[in-house]
Order: sequence, then structure tokens, then C-alpha cells
Amino acid sequence: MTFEFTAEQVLELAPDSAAAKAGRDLSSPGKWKNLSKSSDDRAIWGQCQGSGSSPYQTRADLNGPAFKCSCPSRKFPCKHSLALMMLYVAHGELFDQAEIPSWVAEWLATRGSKQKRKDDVEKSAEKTPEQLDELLQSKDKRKQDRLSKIQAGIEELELFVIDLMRQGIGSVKKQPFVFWKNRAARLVDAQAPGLARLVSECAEICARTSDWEDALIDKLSTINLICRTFLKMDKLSPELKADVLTAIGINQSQDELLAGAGQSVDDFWLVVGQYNYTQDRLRVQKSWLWGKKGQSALVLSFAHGNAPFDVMLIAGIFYQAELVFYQGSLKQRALIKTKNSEPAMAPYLEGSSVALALTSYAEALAKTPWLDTMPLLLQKVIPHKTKDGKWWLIDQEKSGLPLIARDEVGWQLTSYSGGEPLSLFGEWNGTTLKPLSAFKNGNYLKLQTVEV
Amino acid sequence: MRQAKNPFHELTETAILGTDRKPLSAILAGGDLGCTIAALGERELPQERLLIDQLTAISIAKKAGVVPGSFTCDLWVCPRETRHKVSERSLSLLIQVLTLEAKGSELKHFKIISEWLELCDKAQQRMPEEFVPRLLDWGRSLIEMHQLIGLCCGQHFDWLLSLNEDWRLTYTGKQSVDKQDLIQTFEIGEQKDRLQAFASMRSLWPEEALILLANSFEKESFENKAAFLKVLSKKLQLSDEPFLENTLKDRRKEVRAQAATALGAISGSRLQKRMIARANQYLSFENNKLAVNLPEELDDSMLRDGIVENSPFYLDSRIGIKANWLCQILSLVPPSHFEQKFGLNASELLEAALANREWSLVLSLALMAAAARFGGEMQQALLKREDLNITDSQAGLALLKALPQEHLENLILQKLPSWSQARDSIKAAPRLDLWYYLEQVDFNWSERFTREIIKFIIKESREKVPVFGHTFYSNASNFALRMHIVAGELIDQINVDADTADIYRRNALERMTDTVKLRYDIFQSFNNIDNQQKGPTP
Repeated sequence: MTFEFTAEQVLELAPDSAAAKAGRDLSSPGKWKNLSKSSDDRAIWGQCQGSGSSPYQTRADLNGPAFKCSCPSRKFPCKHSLALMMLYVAHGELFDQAEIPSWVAEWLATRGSKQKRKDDVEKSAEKTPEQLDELLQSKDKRKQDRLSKIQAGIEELELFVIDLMRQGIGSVKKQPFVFWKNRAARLVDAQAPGLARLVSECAEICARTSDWEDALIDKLSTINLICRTFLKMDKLSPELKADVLTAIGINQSQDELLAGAGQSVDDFWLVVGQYNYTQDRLRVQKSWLWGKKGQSALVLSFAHGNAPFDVMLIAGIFYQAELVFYQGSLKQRALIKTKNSEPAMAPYLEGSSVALALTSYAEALAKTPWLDTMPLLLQKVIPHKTKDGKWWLIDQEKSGLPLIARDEVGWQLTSYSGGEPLSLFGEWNGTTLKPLSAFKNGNYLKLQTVEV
Repeated sequence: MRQAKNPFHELTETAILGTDRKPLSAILAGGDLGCTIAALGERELPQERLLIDQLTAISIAKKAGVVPGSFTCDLWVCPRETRHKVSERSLSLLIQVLTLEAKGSELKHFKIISEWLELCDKAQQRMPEEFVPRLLDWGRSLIEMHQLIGLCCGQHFDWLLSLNEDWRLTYTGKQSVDKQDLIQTFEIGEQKDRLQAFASMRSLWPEEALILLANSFEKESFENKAAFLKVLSKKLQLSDEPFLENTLKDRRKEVRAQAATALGAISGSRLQKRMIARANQYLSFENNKLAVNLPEELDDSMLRDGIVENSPFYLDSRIGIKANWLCQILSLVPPSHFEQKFGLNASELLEAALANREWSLVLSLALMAAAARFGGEMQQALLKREDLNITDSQAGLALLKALPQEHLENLILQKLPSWSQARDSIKAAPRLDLWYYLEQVDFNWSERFTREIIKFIIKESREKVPVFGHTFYSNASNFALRMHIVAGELIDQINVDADTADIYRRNALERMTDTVKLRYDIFQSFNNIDNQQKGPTP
């Protein structure tokens, strides 16, 4: 097995820019001793002299990747782990095959048995049929209580929207942020955080200096659709029901999904697009996966502060993985049940033309009309900057999609294409495409994702 | 490009104004969406409810029904690349340098990136195309590197310049060769652009540049006058003298001093002759000594010629104010004038100066400043004297800086054995002197020189009480940037980790070794045979 990460991919794993810089600085052979790797190339390890008296023991499982270091850093991966990986990428020849020392073997063994231990704990906590029945009933009651609260919140929100239509959205343009924040807080009280988020986004739209009217109408339309659909819950299919509950902010239980409630798909998945953002002081990593069989999947990973993301995925790498999809009309968000990285596979996927991609978007919209974004993989497209300074993607049929991209990204994409067609992956929100990555001749390019 | 029209604009207007001010009216539009909107409007509901439902239908239709744009233009393709891409390792190192965020790392940036580009071009390789825009943005203001950047960007350079007007103007320099544009920029531009335009004019059309400056000079602020004179001084010719002579009448001493410096550099100028005439009054040769007769006052003619009340160049508690004037005068007279006048060679003249115990400091400083400015045999005579502390004065440092690279390196190498002897009898101060000398070698060090200096640093770092000092600490990175690349082979012998006694010393040594190693890594990444053979195809 060979793992061919690039230095940039390794640095993407850094929890912040300071850790990335420190990792780079430490990735000098002179600062390391006993650099070694296992005979199957799965594990690498080494010792780095830090400020302590004895050198830090750093190890990495490339099949993940996963890291462990004896340094006291709270960052994960720490600078030593990043440096070890950087060294492996740049100077693989310095890593001699060696017998796995106990401090590496024990850790590898722990990693393997982690899932088993979790299963064992769950088994030991098995309940009697009576206890299970009681648990189920109390869960149902909690759910009904919550739905009642949500219904009350939605009825209030509908009145708010009706008032807006009466007074006109022009009247709220100059309202302070707190106007929307208070409305969102009432929805949080009503246990509808998804709707609360949409209302908060209205404040951001109103703060724009131009093009805010249509965007606000679109956002209010989405809110209206979700509210109206929720109020007709009894008449909905199970999939649409799941969709609307997710939109309102009721999470599906990951345990239940993994236990069989969600549909699972086994495939080779390429991490085709990835970016991080912060939401309510929580770091979120959004990873789009695209399977060899043509299915796409969204994996969200969360972390507080400098803690590591709960799922570690590297953009541009193929994983052989079993994914479990959340319930809904569109199989979009998924959980990873099992995964092994297969980085030796060249990142190549079939995409579609602009017209076909928009048709699939229209179909998705018909199923879930409040769909926020949809992943699009376009093939044979060329980036182009028009005279008015806007960026477009043009396909072979001369159909174009507007890009939401900074000039740096636009020119990077243009230079990468060299005027020749390339494949591009991005998030389409119905009006603009946010480019996340490009493919050309079996090569993958991750694009910067700072918004305009 | 054809844009889709929104036939339901009236609904949007109602939403903006509100139904209180603009009641909802029936929309007459065809097609599926028109029918849907009409059907939604027929229900028995409040008009606000109907409005938001109709807007929702339009919002979805807008997203689902239209291809946002269609194009007819033909896009042209970048010509095929002929160079191989640089290796992953070389690229990674360049990105490492580009992402350096520390303050004051501009020089490091510039030096290492220019070295990277030179190695890239020498290896006939190119930047991967996805990084070309970043490099073009980075190199905008570095005009002297534009050609090299162009070569390292391969065919993508010209191709991207044809698409991006901003880059084209920056890199082809079309703006700077148009004389009228330069004149216009000089006349109405921002001060920074005016200076740039004047510098370009001066290099291409020196006579016209001088006329341009002379015409506007009186209206300029004194800071601008001094800045323009500084640009003018970079390449002087005899025809500049009348203008500069006129400038000596300026009210501000800063302007007069700048003009005097420029005139002093023109061989045989009238200012030089006036200075010689003054020097002849104040200096004579008697009893194998130079005799000094200090100027009595700073008269108007001296002020006009740029002599200032108390030049900071000769600030020393042992030098009085009149001696300061004398130093300023003598520094503008070629030492060869006195050699001829008194029939002495350079060494004899210096000996005669030092023989006058009372004025030896004043005379030696003036001779150092004059030797720095005019060169000649006096430079050698001064450097041979072991009893002169060259690095104690600004004049001495200026003298070192004025030496040709090979000469200064040889001088340091000659002195190195005495600095290297860490005997009890040798105090720290003489060893510290090396760093002042090294500070003046601000160009690419030769291989032999680099080896010897690294050996010295290795030796010092192993001493019980190593002598590095502040000058070394503050210049460690700069020294690492100036060293020959061979330093990379030796630098590992400096055991930074073992040096835990002094945090400043340790940090300085770390900065130096890290910089040398980075440069050496870059060098090796381009010279590694494996990289060259396995390098990505064009």
C-alpha cells in the first residue's frame, strides 16, 4: 500500500495557521531521530526533540490518517504530527522499515479496538423489554411535546411573514440586527433551530448594499415553504416528513441511522470538495464525497476550539467506505460507518454538462423545494471573466453558470485550465456556483473557499 | 450573453412596498409559471398570504427553470508548455516562503524567492500553472524580477497577460516607456509615482528629466526636493552641475546637503574646487606632520556648499564643532590632492596625519570618509593600520562598505586568525569586531569566504564563552541570506540544541541555521537527479 499525500493536503489537517507554520518549521530532518515506518507502510513514527528533557514520541496511522504524540499540546494534530507527515511526504526515503515499537503498536491496537469497545459498552447496557417500552414511550412524548412547541412557533412566524408582506420588505431594510435576532431567538425557544438560522440569514441579507431584495424574497419564500409543509405534516410521505423535520432543525439520531434506519452505500468515495466555517462558536468541516457509482454525499464534521474534527477526511483522496445516509427525499447528508483511505487512486470522476446539471437540480428541487445547495460536478467547462468583471463557467454547448469567486480563485482556475476544458466541482444554490475543486488529466486542485 | 427576464417584477414591487401601499393585482403572464401564479391568486385567502405564496412559486421557478447565461465568444487556448513542472518538493518550499508571515521577512522573501526563481530557470523548469497567478501578483512591484518570473511561468505567462490587462500593463511595462505618460505622471501623479516616473525618465532621457525637474523644483516641498536630488545622484554627469550649483542656494539645509553630496561626487566640479581651496587654508605639512588650522566660523559660502552646523556623521565627544566642519570639508577633497601637494604617498600622508597627536582622530576620520568617497591608495593605507579602529566610526564603516566585495572578504579573512584565537589574553571585544565587518558585506558571499565564516561560527558556538553579541543576533538571518549555498553542507555542525545558556544566542543561531537550511533544501530540490527524472511532464 502506498500513500501519496501532498504537502498541501497534510497542512489542510492543521487546526490553525500557527500549527501549520510550526509544523512546516519542524519538518526538517535534523530535528528528528529514529524515523521509521511499518513494513506495510501503514504506520510511521519518529522522535522529535522539544523543550522537554526527553524527545516527543510522534506516530501516525496513514490509513485515516490518525495521529498521536506525547507532547503536551492541546492542538490536534499537533505541530509534531504535522511535521512527521510533512517529512514523510518530502523525504520518504528517510523512513526505514523497522519493527513496530511497543509505543506505536499499542496505539495502533487501541485504534482498532475502539469501535469494538464502544459496541461492548452498548451491549452491556442492554435493557429489558419493559424498560425499552418505557424508554420508547417517554421518547414519543418528548417528540410530541417538541412538535407542539414547533407548531406554535411556526404559526407565530407565519404571522410575522404576513406582516412583512403588508408593510413591505423595504420597511425592514434599515431595521437593526436585533430585529431579526429576536425573531430567531423565539424560534430557538420553539425548538426550531433550523428555521432560526434561516431567519438570522435574513439579517445578513438586509445588511448588503445591493441585490438584497430578491435574496430576501427567496429566503422568505424558503421559510414560507417549510412552514406550510410542516403544517401539513400528516399528509406527507415519510421522506418528505424527514426532509421538513431536518429543515426545521430536528436531528436524526446517528445511532439509529447506523443501526439500520439509514440506507448504507459501500463504494470508493473521493473527497471532492471541502471547506471549514464557524457556526455558533462551533467549527464545522463540510466535506462533499462523490462515489464511483455516481452518488454524492455530504459529511459534516464538528469540533470545538482547537479540538480535532470528529471525522478526518483529506480533500482529493479516495476512501473505500461504507456510508449511511440520513433519511429524506434526497440522499445527501451521510455518516461514515467504515473507511479506509485509498490515496493511490487518481482522482477522476465523470461530470455532466451545465444543462444536465441544472435538470438534476430542478428534479431535486421538485422533491425538496427548500433545498439549500446541491453539489454539481461539471465536465468540459472553461472559466471565463466577462467585461463586467464577473466570473462564469462555460460548457461545450456554450451554456454558462455564474461563479461566486474572488479574482484570485477565478484566475487560478483560468490558469489551471489553460483555456482547455476541465471538470469542476462546486455548490450550486440556484443562482451561483461556489467552486470548490477542479480536475484535469487525473489531477485534483482544491480551490480557496473565501467568499466574495 | 443573453439574460433571462423576470416577467413578474410587479410582484416583487408589491413585496418591497407592502400591500398597504401597493395592493396585490392579478398578474397576466403565460406559460406554466403564469398559470400557477394565476391559480394561486384565485384562492380565498388574505392578499398577503397570496403574495408570499406567489413569490415562493417564482423563487423556485427562477432557480429551476433557467440556464443563467449563454455565450457566443470563442476562448483561446494557452500554447503547449515546453518546460517540465518543478517538483512537488520545490513547489512546497516556495509555498513555505510565500506564506512567511513574520514581520520584517520581506528581505527574506525577496532573496529566497529570487534564488528559487533563478534555480527554476536554470533547471529549465516552470511553475505549475495553478500557482502562476499567485506568483504574478506577488511579483508586481519587483520590476527587476519580471523577466525571471516570466521565464518561470512558461507559456502561461504571455497567455494570462493577454487575458488580464492589469498584469499586462505591470509586466510589459508599456506605461513606463511612453515619454508623455511619464511626463504626465511626473506633473500630476502621487509623489511615489512621480519619483518612479522621474527615475524612469532619468534612465531613458537624462537631459529631459533634468529640465523637467528644474522647471518644477521651486514649487516642490523640501522633502520632495531632497527625494528628487537623491534619485538624480544615482547617475550623475557633468551637465548636471549648473542645476546642482543653483540648488545650493536653497533655503533648506537638507536640500543643500543633498546637492552638495551630489556635487561632491562629480569629479572636477566647482564645489570640489571650492572645497580644495578651503582645505588648503586649513591643512599644511610641517615637520613631517600635518598641521591643522581650524575654520573660525561657518560662513555663508560654507553653508551654501552644504556644510552643516554639526554633522551627525562625525558625532564624537572628542570632536569639537569646528573640527566637525573641517571633517566635512576634508571628506569632499580627494586624498590624492594632498599626496600631490605635499609630495607624499598615501601611507606617508596617513602617517603624517597620525603623527599630529592632537588632531589624529579628526584627520583619520576625514581621510576615511574621503577614501570611502574617492577610493584610491588611501583606502589600502587606512586598512593596513592595525592601530585604527575602523568599526568605531561611521566614516570607518562607510570605508568598509565602499570596498569591492573581493577586497573586503580578503581583509576579513586576513583578520580572521587573530579573531579566532580564544586565548585568555585575547579579550572579547576584538572578536566582536568581526560582526561589524560582516555587516558591511551586503552582497553574495563567495564560497571560500562562506566556508571560513561558518567554520568560525562553529568554533565560536563550541567555545565555553562564545562571543556573538548584539550585532550578530540582529544580523543572523541576513548573514544566512548572504552566504554561499555551500553553507548548507556545513551548517548542521552548529549544534543549536546544545546551546541552552543564552536564549538570544540560541534564537539567533536557530534563525541562521533555519534560513540556510531552507535555501539549501531549495537548492537540492532543483539539483536532485531523482526530481529531475521524475518531474511531471509538461
